[in-house]
Amino acid sequence: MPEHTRNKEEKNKILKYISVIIVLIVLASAAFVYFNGLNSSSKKANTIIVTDDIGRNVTIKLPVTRVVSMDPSNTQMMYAIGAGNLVVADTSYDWWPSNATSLPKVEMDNGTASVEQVVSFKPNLVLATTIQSTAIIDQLKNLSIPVLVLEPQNISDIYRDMYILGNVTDHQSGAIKEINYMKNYISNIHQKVENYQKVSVLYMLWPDPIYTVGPGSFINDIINTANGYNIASNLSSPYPIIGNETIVSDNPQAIIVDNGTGISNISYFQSNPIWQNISAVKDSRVLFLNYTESNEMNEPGPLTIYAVQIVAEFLYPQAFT
Amino acid sequence: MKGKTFFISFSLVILTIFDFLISVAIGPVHISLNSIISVFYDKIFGFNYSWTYYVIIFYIRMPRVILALLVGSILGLSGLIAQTIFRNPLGDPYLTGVSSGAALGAAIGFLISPFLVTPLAFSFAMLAVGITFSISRTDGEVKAEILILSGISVSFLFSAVASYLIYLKVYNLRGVLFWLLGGLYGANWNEDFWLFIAALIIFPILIYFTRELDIILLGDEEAKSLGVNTGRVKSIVIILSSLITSLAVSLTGIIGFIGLVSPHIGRKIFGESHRYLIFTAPLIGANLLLISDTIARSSPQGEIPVGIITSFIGSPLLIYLLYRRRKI
Amino acid sequence: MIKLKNISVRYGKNQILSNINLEVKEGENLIIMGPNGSGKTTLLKSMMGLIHFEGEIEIDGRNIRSFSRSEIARYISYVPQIFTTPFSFTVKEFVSMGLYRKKRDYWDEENDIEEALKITNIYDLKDKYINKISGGELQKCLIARALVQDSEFISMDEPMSHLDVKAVLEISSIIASLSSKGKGIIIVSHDVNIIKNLNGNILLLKNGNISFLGKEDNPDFVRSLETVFEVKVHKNNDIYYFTKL
Repeated sequence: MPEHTRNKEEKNKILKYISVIIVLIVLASAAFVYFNGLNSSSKKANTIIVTDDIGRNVTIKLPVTRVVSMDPSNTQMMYAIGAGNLVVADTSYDWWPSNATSLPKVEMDNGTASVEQVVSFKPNLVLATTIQSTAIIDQLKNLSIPVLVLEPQNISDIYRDMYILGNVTDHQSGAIKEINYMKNYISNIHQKVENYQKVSVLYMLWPDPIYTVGPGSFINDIINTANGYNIASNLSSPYPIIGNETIVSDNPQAIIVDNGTGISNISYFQSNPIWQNISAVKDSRVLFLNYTESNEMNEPGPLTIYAVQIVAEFLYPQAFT
Repeated sequence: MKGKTFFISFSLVILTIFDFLISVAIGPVHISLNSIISVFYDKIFGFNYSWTYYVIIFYIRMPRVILALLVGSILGLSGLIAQTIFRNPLGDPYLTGVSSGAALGAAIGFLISPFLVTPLAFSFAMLAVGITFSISRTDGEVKAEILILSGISVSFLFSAVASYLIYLKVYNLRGVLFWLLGGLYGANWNEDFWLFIAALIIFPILIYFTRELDIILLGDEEAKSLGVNTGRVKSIVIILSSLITSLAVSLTGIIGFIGLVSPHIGRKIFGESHRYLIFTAPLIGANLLLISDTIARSSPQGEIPVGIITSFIGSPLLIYLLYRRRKI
Repeated sequence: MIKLKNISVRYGKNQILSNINLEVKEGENLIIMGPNGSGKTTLLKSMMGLIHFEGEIEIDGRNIRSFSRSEIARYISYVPQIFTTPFSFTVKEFVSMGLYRKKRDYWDEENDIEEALKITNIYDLKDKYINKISGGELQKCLIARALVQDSEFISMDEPMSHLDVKAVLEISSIIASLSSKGKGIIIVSHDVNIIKNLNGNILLLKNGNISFLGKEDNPDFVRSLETVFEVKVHKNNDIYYFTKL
C-alpha cells in the first residue's frame, strides 16, 4: 500500500473516533439537562425575597430548615424569636443562650470563615455581618446558598431584623412577641429616666488612643435611649478616636469603660493628671463593664434591653430606687 | 559658603522654637494666646487659674509636642546613620528589623492587654535587631550588603508572624492599624523624660563618631586604609541607633518616612559631610514630625494617624528638593 | 620595611596569589605590573591587610596582624581606583579625611591640607564638590588625601587608567616628584613607560606568581615582559612599545 493512502486511512479512522465521542458527549449533556430540569421543576419550592441590612435583595427558598450563624448577634435573635432549633452551627464567640455554645462551630477566629466548612453544614440559609468578606458571600451565593447580612446599627434595626428572621423562618408570631417584649421593656426604662437632666458620658472602647462611640454607632443609640448625652455624638464617624483635649474640655460627668480596655480600676484615672480633675473621676462615676455586660453592649439583639438598663441605672441611680 | 551654612543652621533652630510655640497654641480645643499666657501667669503667681486650659496645655499639648520633637530627631538621626552605614540612599532606621519586630510585639500586646503593647514592642524590636545583627556579623566585620539582606529577611519573618496574629487573632483591628501607622496620642511627661534621658546618653556617642561616618561612606577598604576600625564603629553605631529607634517606636508606633526623608533634605541643603548632617538631620526630623503631628491631632474629624501626614508632607518636599538641585 | 613571606590568597577555589616573597624598603618604589587577573590589586590590598591572606607580612619586623588600622594607616596610605559614585563632599572635606589617623578631630589642621592641595595643583578647587570635578582632578584629590595621611608609603592602584593624556602626564609628574622627596611609592600600573619617571623595583606578576623582580636594567627584564604579556617588546628612544608575537 502506498505511503500516502495509508496516512489518509488513519486520518479517517481518527476522525471517526472523534465524531463518535462528540456525539456521545452531546447526548449525555442533553440527557443531563433534561433530567435535571425535570427534577428542579418538579420540586419547585416557594421562595421569598427579602432586603437585608446592606441593601441586597436575597432570594431564599422555603422552608428554611438549616441555618448557619456567623455572628453572636444573629444567633441571639434566632433564639429570641423561637427559631433557635434551626441553627445548626455558630461561632466560638457565641455565649448566649447556653444551647448556642454547644453547637458545632464555624472556625474563623477574627478573619473570615472557610466556605468549605460552611457548606459542610448543608445550610439553606447563612446569617452574617459585614465582618465577612464579600468574596465569601459571593461564593456562597454561587453555590445557591443564600446569605443574609444582618447588622443592626440601632435598636429599631433589631426589631426589623427580628421581623425579617420571623418571616424567613416561619416564626412570625414569635418575632412579634419578642419585639413587643423588648419595646415594653425599653419604654419602661425610658419613662423612668426621661425627665432627668441628661448626664454627659464618655464610652471608652480602647484606652490608647481612646476609641469611643460616635453618631451612627449602636452603643450611641443605647446611650441616647437611656437618656445619656454621648460627648462624642458630634464627631464624624461611628467609632472615632477622641483626643485627650476634647475629653478634658467636654469634661464628661460619667465614664463607661468597656471590658476590652483592660482597665478595671478607677485608680487608672485617679493617678493621671489629665483625668483626675474630670467630673466623672472626681465624683467616682466610672462604670467598669464586666465581660458579659460588654457583650450585651456590643451585640445588638435581645440582650440589648439589659444594656439599656445598665446604662440607665448607672446614669440615673435615683430613678431605680 | 560657610556663612550661608551657618545662617541656614541657625534659621533651623529658630524655626524649631517657632514650631514649638505654634504647636502648643494649636489644637482641637481652641485656646487663645492670651488665655495660654494668663493660665501660666495665674498658675505661677498662685491666682485662680482655668484648670481645663492648664491641663490641656501642660499635660496634653506640651508633653506631646516635646515627644514629637524627640521622636522626630531620633528618627532623623537614625535614618542618617542607616543611610551612611548601608551606603544606600534608601536606608531607613527600620531596616534592621526594628519596625517589624515592634509590630509583632505590639500585636501580641493587643492580644493580651493594651498595657503590654509598649514593653512588648520594645522587646521584640530589640530581638529582631539582635537576630539581624548576629547574622550579619562575621569576623568582627559588619558588611553593609549582608546587613541589609539579613535585615530584610528578619523583617519579613517578623511581619509574617505579626500579620498572622493580626489577621486571625486580634479583635481590635482599628487599634492595631492605628498603632502600625504611628501616633503620639499617648504622650505624657514620664515618657518624655525617659526618652530624653536615652537621647541624652546615646546622641553624644553617635555624634562622637561623626568623622568615622564621613569616611565609612567611602566604603570599607578606603575607610580602613585611612585608619578607621570599620567593624567596631559600625557595630556601635548601628546597635545604639537601633536601640533608641526601638524605644521611640515602642512609644509611638511605626512612624514612616521621617527617617528616610530628613537626611535627604539635610543633604540637599548642606552636602554630604556629617559635621552638618549629624545636627541638621535630627532637627529637620523634629520639625517635620512636629508639624505633621500638630495637623494629625488638630483635625476636626478626630485624630488621624501621623504616619499618613508625614508622607503627605515629606514626599512633596523631597521631590521638590530633588528637582531643584542643591544651590549652595 | 614591608616584608612579605609566602603570601597566598584564595577566593573560594581560585588561587589569586601563591607564595609571594617580597621586600620593600623605606623610600624605595615598587612597580607592580602584569596582565588582567594576574593578582596585582590583590597583592596591593594584602600588603595593607585589607584582605584575608595566608603567610606572614611584617612591617618593621612586626606582624601586620598585631597592628591597629590607624597604625597601618600611619605606615601606608592608599590611592584606590576611582570609585564610580563619589559622594558630595567638597574637595577640602575629602582631602582632610587623610588626617584621621593622626587626629580624629581633624578639621582644624588647615596647613597640612593646604600644602597637599598645592602640591597636587587642586588648591583652587578646594570648595568644589568631588562629584562635580573631572576624573583627573578626582585622582589628584586621592593623591592629596594620601599625602595628608603622611605615611611612609603611598600605594596606588592604576592611578592613570581612565584619564586623558594631559591628566596622565600631570599625575605621573606629581608621582615622580613625590618619589624624589623620599616617599616610597608602591604602584600597580598597566603602563610600562611609567618606569621612565619612577625608579624602583619592577614586579611582573603572572597567574599569581612572580615572574620577574628587579630593576629595568636587568638583562632578563625585556624577555620577562614578553613572556608575561605574550607580546613582542620594542624599545625606541627609551619608550617601550609592543607588537603581536
